Amino acid sequence: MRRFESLLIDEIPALRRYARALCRDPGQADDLVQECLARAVGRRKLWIGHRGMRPWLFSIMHNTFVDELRRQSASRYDSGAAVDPQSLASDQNAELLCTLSDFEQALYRLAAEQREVLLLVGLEQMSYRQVAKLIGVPVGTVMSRLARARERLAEHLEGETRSAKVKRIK
Amino acid sequence: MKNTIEQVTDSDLHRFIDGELNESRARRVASAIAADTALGEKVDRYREINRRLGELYSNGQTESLPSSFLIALAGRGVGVSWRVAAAVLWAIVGGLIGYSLQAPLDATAFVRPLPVEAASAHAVYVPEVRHPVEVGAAEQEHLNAWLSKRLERPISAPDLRTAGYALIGGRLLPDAFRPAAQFMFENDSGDRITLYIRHAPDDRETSFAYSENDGFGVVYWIDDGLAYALTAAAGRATLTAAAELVYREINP
Repeated sequence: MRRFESLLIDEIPALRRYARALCRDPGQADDLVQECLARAVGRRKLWIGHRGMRPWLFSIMHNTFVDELRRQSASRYDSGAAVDPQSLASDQNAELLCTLSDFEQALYRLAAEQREVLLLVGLEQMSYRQVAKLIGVPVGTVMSRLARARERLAEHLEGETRSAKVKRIK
Repeated sequence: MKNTIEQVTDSDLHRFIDGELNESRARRVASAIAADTALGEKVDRYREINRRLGELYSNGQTESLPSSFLIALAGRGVGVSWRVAAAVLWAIVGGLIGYSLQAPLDATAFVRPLPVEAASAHAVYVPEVRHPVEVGAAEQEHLNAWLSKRLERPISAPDLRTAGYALIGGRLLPDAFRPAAQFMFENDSGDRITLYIRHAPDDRETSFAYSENDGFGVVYWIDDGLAYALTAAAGRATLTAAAELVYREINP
Protein backbone atom coordinates (compact mmCIF):
# COMPACT_ATOMS: atom_id res chain seq x y z
CA MET A 1 0.00 0.00 0.00
CA ARG A 2 1.19 3.44 -0.78
CA ARG A 3 2.10 5.67 2.02
CA PHE A 4 -0.41 8.01 3.55
CA GLU A 5 1.66 11.07 2.71
CA SER A 6 2.05 10.39 -0.95
CA LEU A 7 -1.66 9.73 -1.32
CA LEU A 8 -2.38 12.94 0.55
CA ILE A 9 0.01 14.90 -1.61
CA ASP A 10 -1.57 13.60 -4.78
CA GLU A 11 -4.90 15.07 -3.73
CA ILE A 12 -3.67 18.59 -3.02
CA PRO A 13 -4.39 19.95 -6.51
CA ALA A 14 -7.93 18.57 -6.39
CA LEU A 15 -8.49 20.00 -2.93
CA ARG A 16 -7.23 23.38 -4.03
CA ARG A 17 -9.39 23.42 -7.09
CA TYR A 18 -12.48 22.60 -5.08
CA ALA A 19 -11.62 25.10 -2.34
CA ARG A 20 -11.04 27.82 -4.94
CA ALA A 21 -14.47 27.22 -6.32
CA LEU A 22 -16.07 27.06 -2.91
CA CYS A 23 -14.64 30.27 -1.47
CA ARG A 24 -14.71 33.48 -3.43
CA ASP A 25 -11.44 34.54 -1.89
CA PRO A 26 -8.32 32.62 -3.01
CA GLY A 27 -6.58 33.33 0.29
CA GLN A 28 -9.50 31.91 2.19
CA ALA A 29 -9.44 28.89 -0.12
CA ASP A 30 -5.80 28.23 0.65
CA ASP A 31 -6.49 28.61 4.36
CA LEU A 32 -9.21 26.03 3.98
CA VAL A 33 -6.91 23.57 2.22
CA GLN A 34 -4.22 24.16 4.78
CA GLU A 35 -6.56 23.51 7.67
CA CYS A 36 -7.92 20.46 5.91
CA LEU A 37 -4.41 19.06 5.41
CA ALA A 38 -3.53 19.75 9.01
CA ARG A 39 -6.65 17.96 10.22
CA ALA A 40 -5.99 15.05 7.88
CA VAL A 41 -2.45 14.68 9.17
CA GLY A 42 -3.69 14.91 12.73
CA ARG A 43 -6.24 12.18 12.09
CA ARG A 44 -4.18 9.90 9.94
CA LYS A 45 -4.81 7.05 12.35
CA LEU A 46 -8.51 7.38 11.58
CA TRP A 47 -7.96 7.01 7.88
CA ILE A 48 -9.21 3.74 6.56
CA GLY A 49 -7.21 2.95 3.47
CA HIS A 50 -9.89 1.18 1.50
CA ARG A 51 -12.25 4.15 1.64
CA GLY A 52 -10.02 6.09 -0.70
CA MET A 53 -8.17 9.25 0.06
CA ARG A 54 -10.26 11.71 -1.91
CA PRO A 55 -13.67 11.13 -0.29
CA TRP A 56 -12.02 11.17 3.10
CA LEU A 57 -10.24 14.46 2.42
CA PHE A 58 -13.32 16.01 0.89
CA SER A 59 -15.37 15.15 3.93
CA ILE A 60 -12.71 16.74 6.15
CA MET A 61 -12.79 19.74 3.84
CA HIS A 62 -16.57 19.92 4.15
CA ASN A 63 -16.39 19.84 7.94
CA THR A 64 -13.65 22.44 7.94
CA PHE A 65 -15.69 24.65 5.68
CA VAL A 66 -18.82 24.33 7.81
CA ASP A 67 -16.83 25.00 10.98
CA GLU A 68 -15.30 28.05 9.39
CA LEU A 69 -18.67 29.42 8.31
CA ARG A 70 -20.10 28.82 11.76
CA ARG A 71 -17.11 30.49 13.31
CA GLN A 72 -17.43 33.54 11.12
CA SER A 73 -21.20 33.40 11.43
CA ALA A 74 -21.08 36.05 8.73
CA SER A 75 -22.34 33.53 6.27
CA ARG A 76 -24.72 31.03 7.78
CA TYR A 77 -24.31 27.67 6.20
CA ASP A 78 -27.67 26.27 7.16
CA SER A 79 -29.73 29.37 6.60
CA GLY A 80 -30.50 28.56 3.01
CA ALA A 81 -30.61 32.26 2.22
CA ALA A 82 -29.86 32.96 -1.41
CA VAL A 83 -28.07 36.16 -0.65
CA ASP A 84 -26.00 36.62 2.37
CA PRO A 85 -26.44 40.31 3.05
CA GLN A 86 -23.89 40.45 5.80
CA SER A 87 -21.04 39.00 3.82
CA LEU A 88 -21.90 40.99 0.75
CA ALA A 89 -22.02 44.16 2.76
CA SER A 90 -18.45 44.04 3.89
CA ASP A 91 -16.25 46.22 1.73
CA GLN A 92 -13.65 43.60 1.12
CA ASN A 93 -16.18 41.13 -0.15
CA ALA A 94 -17.90 43.70 -2.28
CA GLU A 95 -14.58 44.62 -3.79
CA LEU A 96 -13.76 41.01 -4.48
CA LEU A 97 -17.12 40.40 -6.06
CA CYS A 98 -16.55 43.30 -8.44
CA THR A 99 -13.52 41.62 -9.92
CA LEU A 100 -15.51 38.49 -10.73
CA SER A 101 -17.48 37.73 -13.85
CA ASP A 102 -21.27 37.95 -13.62
CA PHE A 103 -21.48 34.20 -13.61
CA GLU A 104 -19.08 33.93 -10.68
CA GLN A 105 -20.96 36.62 -8.81
CA ALA A 106 -24.13 34.63 -9.25
CA LEU A 107 -22.29 31.53 -8.06
CA TYR A 108 -21.12 33.23 -4.89
CA ARG A 109 -24.54 34.64 -4.19
CA LEU A 110 -25.83 31.11 -3.83
CA ALA A 111 -26.19 29.82 -0.32
CA ALA A 112 -22.99 28.02 0.61
CA GLU A 113 -24.78 24.69 1.03
CA GLN A 114 -26.17 24.93 -2.50
CA ARG A 115 -22.88 25.98 -4.01
CA GLU A 116 -21.14 23.12 -2.29
CA VAL A 117 -23.47 20.51 -3.77
CA LEU A 118 -23.35 22.12 -7.20
CA LEU A 119 -19.56 22.00 -7.20
CA LEU A 120 -19.28 18.47 -5.90
CA VAL A 121 -21.60 17.24 -8.63
CA GLY A 122 -20.85 19.61 -11.49
CA LEU A 123 -17.15 20.18 -11.01
CA GLU A 124 -15.94 17.18 -9.03
CA GLN A 125 -18.23 14.79 -10.88
CA MET A 126 -19.35 12.97 -7.76
CA SER A 127 -22.50 10.91 -7.68
CA TYR A 128 -25.49 12.08 -5.62
CA ARG A 129 -24.90 9.21 -3.26
CA GLN A 130 -21.24 10.12 -2.77
CA VAL A 131 -22.17 13.74 -2.09
CA ALA A 132 -24.88 12.72 0.35
CA LYS A 133 -22.43 10.58 2.26
CA LEU A 134 -19.76 13.21 2.17
CA ILE A 135 -21.84 16.03 3.61
CA GLY A 136 -24.07 13.82 5.73
CA VAL A 137 -27.52 14.55 4.29
CA PRO A 138 -30.07 12.38 2.48
CA VAL A 139 -29.82 12.02 -1.31
CA GLY A 140 -33.11 13.91 -1.64
CA THR A 141 -31.57 16.93 0.07
CA VAL A 142 -28.60 16.77 -2.26
CA MET A 143 -30.97 16.82 -5.21
CA SER A 144 -33.06 19.71 -3.97
CA ARG A 145 -29.98 21.81 -3.22
CA LEU A 146 -28.56 21.00 -6.62
CA ALA A 147 -31.82 21.88 -8.34
CA ARG A 148 -32.09 25.21 -6.55
CA ALA A 149 -28.50 26.10 -7.36
CA ARG A 150 -28.86 25.21 -11.02
CA GLU A 151 -32.17 27.04 -11.33
CA ARG A 152 -30.67 30.23 -10.05
CA LEU A 153 -27.65 30.05 -12.28
CA ALA A 154 -29.80 29.03 -15.25
CA GLU A 155 -31.93 32.14 -14.69
CA HIS A 156 -28.74 34.09 -14.80
CA LEU A 157 -27.65 32.46 -18.08
CA GLU A 158 -31.07 33.12 -19.54
CA GLY A 159 -30.67 36.77 -18.67
CA GLU A 160 -27.30 36.73 -20.41
CA THR A 161 -28.69 35.36 -23.67
CA ARG A 162 -31.57 37.78 -23.53
CA SER A 163 -29.34 40.80 -23.20
CA ALA A 164 -27.05 39.42 -25.90
CA LYS A 165 -30.04 39.18 -28.23
CA VAL A 166 -31.11 42.72 -27.39
CA LYS A 167 -27.65 43.92 -28.28
CA ARG A 168 -27.70 42.07 -31.55
CA ILE A 169 -31.09 43.53 -32.50
CA LYS A 170 -29.84 47.02 -31.82
CA MET B 1 -47.77 6.75 -17.39
CA LYS B 2 -48.26 8.01 -20.92
CA ASN B 3 -46.83 5.72 -23.50
CA THR B 4 -46.01 8.31 -26.15
CA ILE B 5 -44.23 11.18 -24.46
CA GLU B 6 -42.70 10.54 -21.11
CA GLN B 7 -43.54 12.83 -18.22
CA VAL B 8 -40.20 14.37 -17.46
CA THR B 9 -39.71 16.20 -14.20
CA ASP B 10 -37.01 18.71 -13.43
CA SER B 11 -35.37 16.19 -11.19
CA ASP B 12 -35.16 13.80 -14.16
CA LEU B 13 -33.29 16.45 -16.09
CA HIS B 14 -30.70 16.85 -13.36
CA ARG B 15 -30.30 13.13 -12.98
CA PHE B 16 -30.03 12.80 -16.75
CA ILE B 17 -27.22 15.36 -16.94
CA ASP B 18 -25.41 13.84 -13.99
CA GLY B 19 -25.65 10.28 -15.23
CA GLU B 20 -27.85 9.20 -12.35
CA LEU B 21 -30.57 7.52 -14.43
CA ASN B 22 -30.53 3.90 -15.44
CA GLU B 23 -30.06 3.22 -19.11
CA SER B 24 -33.66 2.69 -20.18
CA ARG B 25 -34.92 5.70 -18.26
CA ALA B 26 -32.10 7.81 -19.61
CA ARG B 27 -33.00 6.84 -23.14
CA ARG B 28 -36.64 7.79 -22.61
CA VAL B 29 -35.71 11.11 -21.01
CA ALA B 30 -33.33 11.81 -23.90
CA SER B 31 -36.08 11.35 -26.46
CA ALA B 32 -38.44 13.52 -24.42
CA ILE B 33 -35.77 16.24 -24.36
CA ALA B 34 -35.25 15.92 -28.09
CA ALA B 35 -38.98 16.37 -28.66
CA ASP B 36 -39.37 19.44 -26.48
CA THR B 37 -37.41 22.63 -27.16
CA ALA B 38 -38.12 24.08 -23.74
CA LEU B 39 -36.67 21.01 -22.05
CA GLY B 40 -33.75 21.04 -24.46
CA GLU B 41 -32.92 24.63 -23.62
CA LYS B 42 -33.10 23.90 -19.93
CA VAL B 43 -30.71 20.98 -20.28
CA ASP B 44 -28.37 23.12 -22.34
CA ARG B 45 -28.30 25.75 -19.64
CA TYR B 46 -27.66 23.22 -16.90
CA ARG B 47 -24.84 21.76 -18.98
CA GLU B 48 -23.49 25.22 -19.64
CA ILE B 49 -23.22 25.70 -15.87
CA ASN B 50 -21.03 22.61 -15.58
CA ARG B 51 -18.97 23.72 -18.54
CA ARG B 52 -18.33 27.14 -17.02
CA LEU B 53 -17.44 25.68 -13.65
CA GLY B 54 -14.90 23.47 -15.36
CA GLU B 55 -13.52 26.39 -17.31
CA LEU B 56 -13.29 28.64 -14.27
CA TYR B 57 -11.73 26.22 -11.88
CA SER B 58 -9.83 23.70 -13.92
CA ASN B 59 -6.60 25.60 -13.36
CA GLY B 60 -6.89 25.98 -9.61
CA GLN B 61 -3.68 24.08 -9.06
CA THR B 62 -1.44 25.95 -11.46
CA GLU B 63 -0.28 28.53 -8.98
CA SER B 64 2.56 27.95 -6.66
CA LEU B 65 1.78 26.13 -3.51
CA PRO B 66 1.71 28.34 -0.44
CA SER B 67 4.52 27.44 1.85
CA SER B 68 1.99 27.34 4.64
CA PHE B 69 0.81 24.01 3.23
CA LEU B 70 4.16 22.62 4.17
CA ILE B 71 3.65 23.73 7.69
CA ALA B 72 0.23 22.14 7.68
CA LEU B 73 1.80 18.91 6.52
CA ALA B 74 4.87 18.94 8.64
CA GLY B 75 4.18 21.29 11.50
CA ARG B 76 2.14 19.04 13.72
CA GLY B 77 4.94 16.57 14.05
CA VAL B 78 2.64 13.72 13.22
CA GLY B 79 4.77 11.63 11.01
CA VAL B 80 5.12 13.74 7.90
CA SER B 81 8.76 14.50 7.62
CA TRP B 82 10.17 17.69 6.22
CA ARG B 83 11.65 15.57 3.49
CA VAL B 84 8.21 14.55 2.34
CA ALA B 85 6.94 18.07 2.73
CA ALA B 86 9.82 19.35 0.67
CA ALA B 87 9.03 16.75 -1.95
CA VAL B 88 5.52 18.16 -2.22
CA LEU B 89 6.89 21.57 -2.68
CA TRP B 90 9.28 20.66 -5.44
CA ALA B 91 6.88 18.37 -7.16
CA ILE B 92 4.09 20.88 -7.27
CA VAL B 93 5.68 24.29 -7.29
CA GLY B 94 8.57 23.15 -9.41
CA GLY B 95 6.41 21.27 -11.82
CA LEU B 96 3.87 23.99 -12.22
CA ILE B 97 5.81 27.18 -12.39
CA GLY B 98 7.84 25.85 -15.19
CA TYR B 99 10.83 24.16 -13.73
CA SER B 100 10.28 20.75 -15.12
CA LEU B 101 11.80 17.84 -13.35
CA GLN B 102 13.80 16.98 -16.45
CA ALA B 103 16.83 18.65 -14.98
CA PRO B 104 16.50 18.02 -11.28
CA LEU B 105 20.10 18.73 -10.49
CA ASP B 106 20.49 22.21 -11.90
CA ALA B 107 20.42 25.37 -9.86
CA THR B 108 16.67 25.80 -10.20
CA ALA B 109 16.29 22.82 -7.92
CA PHE B 110 17.28 25.18 -5.12
CA VAL B 111 14.75 27.85 -5.91
CA ARG B 112 12.44 28.44 -3.00
CA PRO B 113 8.95 29.86 -3.49
CA LEU B 114 9.02 33.60 -3.89
CA PRO B 115 7.03 34.51 -0.76
CA VAL B 116 9.23 32.26 1.35
CA GLU B 117 12.41 33.76 -0.04
CA ALA B 118 11.09 37.31 0.31
CA ALA B 119 9.77 36.81 3.83
CA SER B 120 13.01 35.21 4.88
CA ALA B 121 15.07 38.15 3.55
CA HIS B 122 12.63 40.50 5.23
CA ALA B 123 12.93 38.70 8.56
CA VAL B 124 16.71 38.84 8.44
CA TYR B 125 17.31 42.45 7.41
CA VAL B 126 14.38 44.42 8.74
CA PRO B 127 15.37 44.20 12.43
CA GLU B 128 18.84 45.59 11.57
CA VAL B 129 19.45 48.90 13.23
CA ARG B 130 22.84 49.80 11.85
CA HIS B 131 22.99 47.88 8.56
CA PRO B 132 19.49 47.37 7.24
CA VAL B 133 20.69 48.09 3.69
CA GLU B 134 23.92 47.91 1.74
CA VAL B 135 23.38 51.09 -0.19
CA GLY B 136 21.33 53.88 1.37
CA ALA B 137 18.68 56.09 -0.18
CA ALA B 138 21.18 58.93 -0.37
CA GLU B 139 22.87 57.02 -3.18
CA GLN B 140 19.67 55.95 -4.84
CA GLU B 141 20.93 56.44 -8.37
CA HIS B 142 23.93 54.28 -7.72
CA LEU B 143 21.73 51.69 -6.00
CA ASN B 144 19.39 51.44 -8.99
CA ALA B 145 22.25 51.27 -11.46
CA TRP B 146 24.08 48.64 -9.46
CA LEU B 147 21.06 46.37 -9.00
CA SER B 148 20.07 46.83 -12.65
CA LYS B 149 23.51 45.76 -13.69
CA ARG B 150 23.54 42.72 -11.47
CA LEU B 151 20.02 41.57 -12.37
CA GLU B 152 20.64 42.50 -16.01
CA ARG B 153 17.32 44.31 -16.07
CA PRO B 154 16.42 47.94 -15.42
CA ILE B 155 15.45 48.03 -11.78
CA SER B 156 14.63 51.03 -9.68
CA ALA B 157 13.22 51.59 -6.25
CA PRO B 158 9.55 52.62 -6.49
CA ASP B 159 8.47 55.82 -4.80
CA LEU B 160 6.11 54.88 -1.99
CA ARG B 161 6.00 58.25 -0.26
CA THR B 162 2.33 58.74 -1.09
CA ALA B 163 1.71 55.70 1.09
CA GLY B 164 3.88 57.19 3.80
CA TYR B 165 6.91 55.00 3.18
CA ALA B 166 10.32 56.48 2.48
CA LEU B 167 13.14 54.51 0.90
CA ILE B 168 15.90 53.44 3.28
CA GLY B 169 17.94 51.75 0.57
CA GLY B 170 18.53 48.34 -0.85
CA ARG B 171 20.78 45.36 -1.16
CA LEU B 172 21.82 42.57 -3.44
CA LEU B 173 20.86 39.07 -2.33
CA PRO B 174 21.64 35.57 -3.53
CA ASP B 175 18.66 33.56 -4.66
CA ALA B 176 19.46 30.04 -5.80
CA PHE B 177 22.74 31.03 -7.47
CA ARG B 178 21.25 34.13 -9.03
CA PRO B 179 21.18 37.74 -7.92
CA ALA B 180 18.04 39.17 -6.37
CA ALA B 181 17.33 42.65 -5.04
CA GLN B 182 15.69 43.96 -1.92
CA PHE B 183 14.50 47.52 -1.33
CA MET B 184 13.54 48.59 2.15
CA PHE B 185 11.11 51.34 3.11
CA GLU B 186 10.07 52.82 6.41
CA ASN B 187 7.21 55.01 7.60
CA ASP B 188 7.15 57.59 10.38
CA SER B 189 6.21 55.03 13.00
CA GLY B 190 9.22 52.94 12.06
CA ASP B 191 7.26 50.17 10.30
CA ARG B 192 9.31 48.64 7.54
CA ILE B 193 8.24 47.14 4.29
CA THR B 194 10.48 45.37 1.78
CA LEU B 195 10.22 44.77 -1.93
CA TYR B 196 12.00 41.67 -3.13
CA ILE B 197 12.75 41.28 -6.84
CA ARG B 198 14.14 38.30 -8.68
CA HIS B 199 13.98 36.79 -12.13
CA ALA B 200 10.71 35.13 -12.99
CA PRO B 201 10.86 31.53 -14.16
CA ASP B 202 9.02 32.34 -17.40
CA ASP B 203 7.20 35.09 -19.27
CA ARG B 204 3.93 34.55 -17.51
CA GLU B 205 2.27 37.47 -15.77
CA THR B 206 0.20 36.87 -12.71
CA SER B 207 -2.18 38.84 -10.58
CA PHE B 208 -1.47 39.55 -6.93
CA ALA B 209 -1.27 36.56 -4.67
CA TYR B 210 -1.09 36.71 -0.93
CA SER B 211 0.44 34.43 1.61
CA GLU B 212 1.59 34.55 5.17
CA ASN B 213 5.02 33.34 6.04
CA ASP B 214 6.26 33.17 9.56
CA GLY B 215 4.06 36.04 10.67
CA PHE B 216 4.78 38.27 7.68
CA GLY B 217 2.28 39.03 5.00
CA VAL B 218 3.56 38.80 1.44
CA VAL B 219 1.85 40.03 -1.70
CA TYR B 220 3.63 38.75 -4.79
CA TRP B 221 3.23 38.83 -8.52
CA ILE B 222 5.11 38.35 -11.77
CA ASP B 223 5.33 41.10 -14.31
CA ASP B 224 7.44 41.39 -17.42
CA GLY B 225 9.95 38.72 -16.53
CA LEU B 226 10.48 39.78 -12.94
CA ALA B 227 8.94 38.35 -9.82
CA TYR B 228 8.06 40.85 -7.10
CA ALA B 229 7.19 40.26 -3.47
CA LEU B 230 6.17 42.94 -1.03
CA THR B 231 6.57 41.91 2.58
CA ALA B 232 5.59 43.52 5.88
CA ALA B 233 4.20 42.64 9.25
CA ALA B 234 0.82 43.67 7.91
CA GLY B 235 -2.35 42.11 6.61
CA ARG B 236 -3.56 41.46 3.14
CA ALA B 237 -5.50 44.70 2.64
CA THR B 238 -2.60 46.98 3.58
CA LEU B 239 -0.15 45.02 1.52
CA THR B 240 -2.37 44.81 -1.52
CA ALA B 241 -2.86 48.57 -1.46
CA ALA B 242 0.90 49.07 -1.23
CA ALA B 243 1.49 46.49 -3.96
CA GLU B 244 -0.86 48.38 -6.26
CA LEU B 245 1.20 51.47 -5.71
CA VAL B 246 4.41 49.59 -6.43
CA TYR B 247 2.87 48.15 -9.57
CA ARG B 248 1.82 51.59 -10.79
CA GLU B 249 5.25 53.00 -10.02
CA ILE B 250 6.91 50.26 -12.02
CA ASN B 251 4.41 50.47 -14.89
CA PRO B 252 3.70 54.18 -15.16
